[in-house]
Amino acid sequence: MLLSTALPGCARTIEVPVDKPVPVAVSIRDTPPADLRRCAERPRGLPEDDKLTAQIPDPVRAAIIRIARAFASNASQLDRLVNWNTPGACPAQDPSAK
Amino acid sequence: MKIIRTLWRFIAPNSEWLVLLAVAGTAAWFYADGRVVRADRAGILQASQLICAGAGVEFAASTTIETDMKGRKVTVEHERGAVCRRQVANLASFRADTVQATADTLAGAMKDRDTKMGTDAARAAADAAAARAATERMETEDAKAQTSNRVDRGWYAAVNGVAGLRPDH
Repeated sequence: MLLSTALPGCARTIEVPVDKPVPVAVSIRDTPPADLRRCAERPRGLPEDDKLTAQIPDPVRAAIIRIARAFASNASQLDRLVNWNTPGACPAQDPSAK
Repeated sequence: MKIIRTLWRFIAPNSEWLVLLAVAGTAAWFYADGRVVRADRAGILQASQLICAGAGVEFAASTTIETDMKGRKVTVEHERGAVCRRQVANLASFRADTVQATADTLAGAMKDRDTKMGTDAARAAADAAAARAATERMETEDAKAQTSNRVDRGWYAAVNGVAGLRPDH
């Protein structure tokens, strides 16, 4: 006992429990460039006029409907994605504006 | 009792030796005690130096040159361990602050994400409902054109509805 106090090198090493390192989190702004945050472009659609009737064969009508549906789906997805990065940037379109 | 009296009669003439013995004993005890105290002190000093070195500063007394409020250079003397004590206190408070800030940041991020998820789910549901309604209308309008292939205003409107577009008047 006397030896261990006289010579510090002889003292027993005591392992003190140490807390695990805590990861340090900081919030980073990873905003995409402005041109990637533009809301979906929605041009005017087909004219709704009584005088403009047409004869469109089945396959072409089906294609038009396909394209229109895909357009709505893509536009909705893009708006949601932009809103995810910039909340409220692309509000839902007004259904009465049809 | 007789034995003690006999013993005392033998000791009494030489009692100065006893005093000497007692003094020597006390001195030896002080000496041993002093060794323990010195060893203790050396151990504590070494531990202090190690702790301060671990914190990245010297334990020994030091002086630094600081700038006072009037912009003059002044020499500040730090007594032994003062810089180290401040450094260790700073480190401890830094750690506590960091842990707190980290917890706040993570909680905030989680809350933000929950909000976004809720908003996006609502938007997705609204879009899906609108698409479903538009599809139903489209099917009705397109069924009318099946036989003649002729499309009119109603069909155009249904296409606009499916695409989510305003009409071009």
